[in-house]
Amino acid sequence: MNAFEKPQIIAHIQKSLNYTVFDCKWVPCSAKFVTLGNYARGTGVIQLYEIQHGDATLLREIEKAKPFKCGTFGAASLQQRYLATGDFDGNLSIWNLEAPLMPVYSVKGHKEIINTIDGVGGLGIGEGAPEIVTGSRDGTVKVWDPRQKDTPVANMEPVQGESKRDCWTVAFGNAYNQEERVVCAGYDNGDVKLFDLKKMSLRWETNIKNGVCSVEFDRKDINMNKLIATSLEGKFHVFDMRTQHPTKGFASVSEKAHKSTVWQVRHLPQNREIFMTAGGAGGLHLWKYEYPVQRSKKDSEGVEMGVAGSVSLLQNVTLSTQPISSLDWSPDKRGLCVCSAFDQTVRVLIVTKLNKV
Amino acid sequence: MTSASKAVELQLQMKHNAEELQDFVKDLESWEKDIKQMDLELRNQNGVSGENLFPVRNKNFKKKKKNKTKVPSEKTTEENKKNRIKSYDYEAWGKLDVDTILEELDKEDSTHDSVSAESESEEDGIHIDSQKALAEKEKGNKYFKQGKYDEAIDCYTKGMAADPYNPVLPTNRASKPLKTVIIEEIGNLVQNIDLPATNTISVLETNCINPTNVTKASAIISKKNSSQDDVLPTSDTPRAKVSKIEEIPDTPQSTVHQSFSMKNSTEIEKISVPFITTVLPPIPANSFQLESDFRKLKNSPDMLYQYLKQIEPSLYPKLFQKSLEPDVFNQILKILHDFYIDKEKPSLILEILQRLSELKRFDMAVMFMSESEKKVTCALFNHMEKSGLKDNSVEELKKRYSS
Repeated sequence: MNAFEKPQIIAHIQKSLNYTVFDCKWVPCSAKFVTLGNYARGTGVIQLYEIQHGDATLLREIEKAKPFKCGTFGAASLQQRYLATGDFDGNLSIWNLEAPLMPVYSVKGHKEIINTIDGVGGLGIGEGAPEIVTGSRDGTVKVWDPRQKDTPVANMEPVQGESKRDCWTVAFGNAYNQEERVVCAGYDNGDVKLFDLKKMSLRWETNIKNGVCSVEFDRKDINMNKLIATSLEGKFHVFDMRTQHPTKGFASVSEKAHKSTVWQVRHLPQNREIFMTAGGAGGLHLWKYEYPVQRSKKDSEGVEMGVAGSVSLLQNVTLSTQPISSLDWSPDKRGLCVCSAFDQTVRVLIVTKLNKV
Repeated sequence: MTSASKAVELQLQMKHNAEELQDFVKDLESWEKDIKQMDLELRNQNGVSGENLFPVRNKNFKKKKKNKTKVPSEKTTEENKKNRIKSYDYEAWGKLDVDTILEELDKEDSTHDSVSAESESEEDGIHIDSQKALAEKEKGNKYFKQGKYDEAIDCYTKGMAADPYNPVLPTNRASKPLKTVIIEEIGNLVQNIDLPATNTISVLETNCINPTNVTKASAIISKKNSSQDDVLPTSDTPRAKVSKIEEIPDTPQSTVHQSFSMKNSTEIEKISVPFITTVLPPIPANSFQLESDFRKLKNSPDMLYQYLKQIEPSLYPKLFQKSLEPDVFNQILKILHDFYIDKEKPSLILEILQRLSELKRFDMAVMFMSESEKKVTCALFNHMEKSGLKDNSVEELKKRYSS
C-alpha cells in the first residue's frame, strides 16, 4: 500500500487540562465526551465536553472527594446514559450527568482502587441484564447489577492462600443471548482469566508473561470472536475465541507493537477487524487483523483447534511525549476518536479512509 | 519511475489527503447537527423501556453464598462434573438404576428433615429458634425481677432475634423502659426542684412497680412540689429563687448569666415584686423553649418581665438562630413597653431592640406587626428619644422597625 493511501490520524482538537486525566469516554448518541481524573489537590473530577465546530466546549464539571480512575456507559440505557465510575477509594458510583449532586447508585465495592470498569446490557449492546464489572488492586473482580444494592452479583477472587494479584483490566463479552456472558480479566503478573458468568466458573486462563494492561473483545454482543490483550513490555496478543481446544486453549498471534507499554487497545466499533493501540511513549498504532483461510483445524487426535490470523500495521503517529492513558472510538461516527494522555491533554482525533481499508 | 514523476505523484496524493480531510471535517459538522438533534430527542424520552426484563443474576443464590466462603467454587463444580454422567454417555445412562437413587434421596430427605426446614426459613431471611427465644425470655425475666433492666433488655432483644414471631418478648422489653424512663424523668425533675433525689426515687420505685402507676407517681411528684413551696419561708424574697436557678448546671453561659442575675436580684429586691408561686423558668436554650416558657408565663406579666430580663441580649442570635416568630417578637416588644420603660435604663431597651433587629427573620416579623404593635414600638422609641438617646443609629433603627 502506498504511504499516501493509508488512513491518516490527525489531531483535530487538543484541549489542555489542569488535572491528571485517566479515562475518557464518548457519551453514546451525542457529540459529547467525558474525561475523568484527579486534581493535584487530591479530589476527583468529571468533565463533560461537547464538540462544536472544531472546538471542544466544556459543558459541565463535577468535582468529588475521591479521584476517578475509570468510567463506562456500557450498562446504561440510551435514554439515561448514566456514567458508572470507579474511584481511588474502591467506590463504584453511577452518575446522572444532568444531576450529579448525588450518585444514582453507589457502593463501596473494593478495598482498594478500582483500576478498570466495563459495562454491558445497556445502550442496546449485549443481550441480558445490565451489568458492570470492576477490577481492583485488591485482587478481586466483581460484577454488579445496578438494580441490586450493596452486593455484587458475582465475585471472582483468588482462592484463599493464593497471592492476590492486582487486576488491571476487565472486559465483557459473549453476551449474545440472555444467559451467556463472560468476563475477561488481566492481571499484573500476566494472567488472563476468562470467567463464565452463566456457569459461574473459570473457563480458561493463560499467562502472557508480562502485566496485562488492556483486554477487549472485538464485540461484546456476539458469540465471542476475538480477544486482544496488551502487555506491559509493548506486545499485544490477538486470541481467536471461536474454537477452544481442551488443552491448548485458544489460538493466538502476538505482535511487538510499541517500544513501551501498550496502555490500551480499542476496536473500531464500525469495523472490528481494525483496532488502535495506545503506547507508553505517546504513540498510536492502527492495526488490521486478517483472518486465516480456515479458522479451525483438527489436531493429531482429531480435536478442533483454532487457527490465528495475522495483523498488519496501517498507520502510526506520535502525539505526545507522555503515555496515552485511554482511547475511545466514537460509537456514532466512524473515524472519530478521543484519547487522553498524561501530558494533561485530551485530544479528539480524526482517522480518515477507514472505509477503504 | 523518474524522480520528477514521483514528485508529481506525491503532490497529487497530498492534495488528495487534504481534500479527504476537508471532506471529513465538513461531514463532521453535519453529523454534529444530526447527532445533537438525536441526543435531544433521547433526553426528552424519559421512559426506561425493558429495565426489568431480565432477572438479576444469582439473586436466589445470594443468601446461601453469603454463608459460604466467597472463594469461587471452581473445584466443587469440577467435582460435580466428575460425578455427573455426560448427556451423550448413553451406556452409563442405560446402567443407571433410577429406583435406588430415588430411594436414597428419600432416605436423605427424612434424615435431614429438620435441617432442610431450617434452611428453608433461612431463604426467607428469617430464622426461627423458639427454644432459644424461650430460654432468653426466662433469663430476661430473672434479670427483670432483680432490677437489672439493661441486662433484661439485652436478653429480650436476643430472644426477639431468635424468634421474631413471639409476641411476649417485645411486650416484656417495652415494659422496662416505661418504668425506668418515668423514674429517670422524675429523678431529673426532683433534681431541678432541689430535693434529696435518692429518697424520692426510692419512694417512687416502691410505688410504681407496674406502668399503670404512672398517675400515682405524678401525684407524688406534685406533692413533693408543693411541699417544696412549703419548705420555703414565705418571707423569702425572690432572691432565693433566682440564686437557685443559677445552680442549674446545664446552662452553658453560666458566668455571664451569673453576674447578670446577681445584678437582677439586687434590683428585684429594691422593687418589691408580688410573690408568685410558679417557678421562674431557666434561661431557654432555644427559641422553642422560649416560646413554650412565654406561653406558660402568659398570665403573669411580671414573671415574663423577669424571664426576659435574665436573657442577655447578646445571646439573641444564638437563641433565635433562624426562627424569630412574629408572636414572640411582638410579645418581647410588649414586655419592653410595659415594664422596661418604667424600670430599666433606655440604653438597655435600645440594646435589646438593636439585637432583635440583627436577627435573621427580623424584617418578616416587622411585616407582620399589627397597628397596636406598631404603636407599642413608637412609644418605645419616643421614650428613648425623651431620655436623650438620639443619634443616627437610633434613627436608623426606628426606620427599620417602622418599615
